Amino acid sequence: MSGKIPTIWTFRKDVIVKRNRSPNLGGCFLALPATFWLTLFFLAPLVIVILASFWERGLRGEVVHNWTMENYQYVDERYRPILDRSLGIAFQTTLYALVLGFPLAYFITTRQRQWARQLSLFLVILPFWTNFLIRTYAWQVLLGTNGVINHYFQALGLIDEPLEILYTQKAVLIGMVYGFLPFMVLPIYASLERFDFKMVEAAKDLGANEFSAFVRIIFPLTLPGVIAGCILVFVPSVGAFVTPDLLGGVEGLMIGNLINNAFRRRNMPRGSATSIVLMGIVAIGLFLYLFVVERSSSGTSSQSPDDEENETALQKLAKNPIAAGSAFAGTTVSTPLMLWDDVSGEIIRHLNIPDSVRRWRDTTVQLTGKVIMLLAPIVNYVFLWIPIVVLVTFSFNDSRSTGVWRGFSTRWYTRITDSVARNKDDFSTELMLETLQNSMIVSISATIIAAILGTMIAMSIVRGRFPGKNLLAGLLYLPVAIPEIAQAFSLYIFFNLAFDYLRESSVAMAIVDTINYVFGTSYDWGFGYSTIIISHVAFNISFVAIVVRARLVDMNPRYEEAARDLGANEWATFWRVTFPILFPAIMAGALLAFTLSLDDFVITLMTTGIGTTTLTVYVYGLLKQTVTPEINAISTLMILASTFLVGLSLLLQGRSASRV
Amino acid sequence: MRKLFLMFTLVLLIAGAVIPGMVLAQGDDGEEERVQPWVCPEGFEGQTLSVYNWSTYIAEDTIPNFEELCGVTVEYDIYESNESMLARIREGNPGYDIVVPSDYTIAIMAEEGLLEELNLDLIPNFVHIGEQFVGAPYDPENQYSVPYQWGTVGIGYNVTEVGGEITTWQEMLDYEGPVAWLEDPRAMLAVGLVLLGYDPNTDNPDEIDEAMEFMIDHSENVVAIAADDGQVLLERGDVNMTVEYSGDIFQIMDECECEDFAYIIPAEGSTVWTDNLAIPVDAPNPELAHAFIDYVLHPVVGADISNYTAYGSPNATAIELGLIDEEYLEDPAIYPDEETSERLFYITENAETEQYFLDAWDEIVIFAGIGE
Repeated sequence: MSGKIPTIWTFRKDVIVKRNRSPNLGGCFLALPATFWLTLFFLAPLVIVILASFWERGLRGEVVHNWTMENYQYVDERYRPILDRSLGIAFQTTLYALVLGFPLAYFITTRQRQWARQLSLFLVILPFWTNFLIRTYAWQVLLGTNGVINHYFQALGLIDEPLEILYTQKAVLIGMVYGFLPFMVLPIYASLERFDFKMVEAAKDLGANEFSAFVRIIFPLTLPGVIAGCILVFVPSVGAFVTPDLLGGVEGLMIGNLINNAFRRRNMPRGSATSIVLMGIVAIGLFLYLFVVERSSSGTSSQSPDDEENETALQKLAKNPIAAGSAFAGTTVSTPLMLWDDVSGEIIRHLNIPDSVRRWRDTTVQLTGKVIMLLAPIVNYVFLWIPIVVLVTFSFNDSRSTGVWRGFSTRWYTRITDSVARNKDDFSTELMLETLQNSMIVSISATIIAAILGTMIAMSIVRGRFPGKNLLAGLLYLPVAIPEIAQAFSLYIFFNLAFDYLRESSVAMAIVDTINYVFGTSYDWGFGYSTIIISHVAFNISFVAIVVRARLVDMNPRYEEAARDLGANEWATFWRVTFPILFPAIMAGALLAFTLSLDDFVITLMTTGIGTTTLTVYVYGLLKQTVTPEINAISTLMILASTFLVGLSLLLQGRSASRV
Repeated sequence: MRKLFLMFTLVLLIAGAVIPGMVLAQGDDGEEERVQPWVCPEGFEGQTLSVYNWSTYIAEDTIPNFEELCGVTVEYDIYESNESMLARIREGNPGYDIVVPSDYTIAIMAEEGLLEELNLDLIPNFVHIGEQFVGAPYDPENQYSVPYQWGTVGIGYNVTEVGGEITTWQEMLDYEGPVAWLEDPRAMLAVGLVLLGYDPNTDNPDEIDEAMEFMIDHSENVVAIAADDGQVLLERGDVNMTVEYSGDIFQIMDECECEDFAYIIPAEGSTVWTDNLAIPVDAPNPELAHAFIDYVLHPVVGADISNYTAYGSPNATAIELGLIDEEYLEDPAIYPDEETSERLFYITENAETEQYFLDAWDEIVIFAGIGE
């Protein structure tokens, strides 16, 4: 034994090189299902968007197949200021989400007991299982001129005049940081969760203070998670439209609103061109960022342990954006921090400052850290749950309004319980419950499929060696960047083309007939649960894959090698070693996917079939009438039910853990 | 069109004077004849009808009663804008029997062959439709559609905050406090066009441009351009005035049981809109769809729906027989008087100029409230 350990370390490089050289076709196989899915249900529709962006709008909003650059000229002439504004807001959203999210992820990870860790994680995600429109209305209630915040601040004498927040960019920023916070917290959590805190102890034993330990150990080692989080927040927030629509007013208008308007006003070519410009900016941004990485990483070799030095930036981007990004962020963020750490250390040493001052400095640093770690979770959880408090309060409103309190009543709950018990036929309540059921069917199925496919493709990209892998890695980021409405319209056109083709095809019809004969069903090619689920999986795969990948990059392959050396086959290695290590990341990715799927309204609206309307679509349809507190009541019940389930599972885990 | 409204009002006035007399003269028989319960035609048992409508834009018992009367199942799906519905039907009807498009959308769908022709013989209750709603400009022969609900675009405002009565668009544009506009390009540009003395359905690009500049110049007080939820902003006090569809404002007036809110149709004139029942092309069950349309046009059923939604009913018989709630019937903002009716106009669809209107609206959305 004693002879073996040094061998591994000594020949580490050779082992890696050896593994790299042999193509791993198993890895290729792992990527197949997700690649197939994304090619068919993301890339093919994307081609429709690209083509449409170069075509003309017909007189009645139909797409005329005449080539033109007019759509791009229009975007260039008119939409620039709004594009700039959107990039600015997205950048700030990412920054604030990181500042708030990192300490929260740290807090979650450092909970000692498993149940506490899971509880604090679920407390981040639970608020997002309520209806998005209602949650945003809650922010309107909080931020409005006569809103909750202004009311209490004035009552406490903090301000004289009501603050003007609602319908400004500030409100958009608050709403977006709120909406995207889990997208920052979960990847960082997935990355931190693997972090070995013994390294911090070791660093401290070697004389590092808390600050040095954070700057030199914790932050650099969790960078893959941080980068994944930043991408997951920045990219979708550039194209956001519901939050600016409901909170931004005329000042907070973003490019997503203009894209949405173009599609809604039957101008698919213009909407497509604007979407392509948006996706282009995001792609160029990623490229530039990596170009800088390459230049800066060659300067600071300590930050890039990568052996392959002759690669171009593009190759690097395609191969491993996360690692390359880490290197860049490592140099830009960590270097000044480390420098400060060095300089202050040097000063203290050279000035021959007595130990008491040094200890005082360390205590101050330690204290600051403690205060941040104490405040961060409080601030975060209050921020995440305040809209839910408003939402729940208004579920007891004795009025049809979700924004003005007019007395206490449980009538919205009575309607739901009556309807469930079939005492009374309340048409709208029945309809709402039906749509809730549809939502559950869709979201759960889409999450499970996306979690499996996303994990597989992430493993294949990190572990596999096969031609075209780099391209595949790039493909993964695109679905996050495409505006929802562009994807919705293109998927709709794509499905219709596909159904027309399949109905003509005798082979496809024979398959369907056989299935119908065997299962006694009467399925026909058409819109329904299947089309919604397919579309949701198409945008969810990337979210799962990005989170899982950030963790895999961190994972030490030698655990698996050890398992194999000990005689485990691939299958056993995966289930006994890889899967348990990846599980927190898969879970984090699945939670994001479920949330996204539950909240999606644009894509669902275009891919739903007869009788498969989901709750979110139902609630948006209510805008023509009034969105009533019945939606708050059902949201409250959903939160209660999920809290109950989470509580139950924590309890069971606790029991089985204490028995073992 | 103005003539139509004038005629309608006259008919109403005459009906108001004559019909009670008729009913009295005829005794109970006459009234009974007119409000006999709806009977479902034979032979639909076990069939399915798929309705594609706005959420709960229907009374609570309309669908359950129909299911019971005909022994059928109704699938009820929802959309949130004419555009979403149109986009879906355009690529091939996924299987709906009934859609509820607004006026100009009917014109577009008819032109593109997206609607089945109606057989009015199968819809005997069509006789109840008020005269001014028969043969509306978007469907002059009622070949494709029958009216379902109607309303206007006007100003909802907080009387207390504004501190007085509002009667015109100009007053809204000059108001200093926070205002919300409506995300409805044609209805909003019509405000500018009417104030400048132009035809709201103009096909002159210069006039549309002028209206756009005019609206941007008068947008300093605009804080938000609301989708269809301006009444929520008004109720919470985030704005003191909002451009909205009539029914929405009445819903908050009913709720608050206060005198704070009012809705007016501005004196300069405004947009009138109608939502219509229609059968999309390739509907799986057009016969049952006809039966459903006939059912909804029954005075009692139609009145129930309007009493629930607080929008105007096009059902003249329901109005004559007083089946509509009195408070709605007497409200000039729902059933406007003769003078106001004269100043209402439909938005007509003009494919040639539509893009001008939409581009002008784009510009307004970008520059409203912030100036160029």
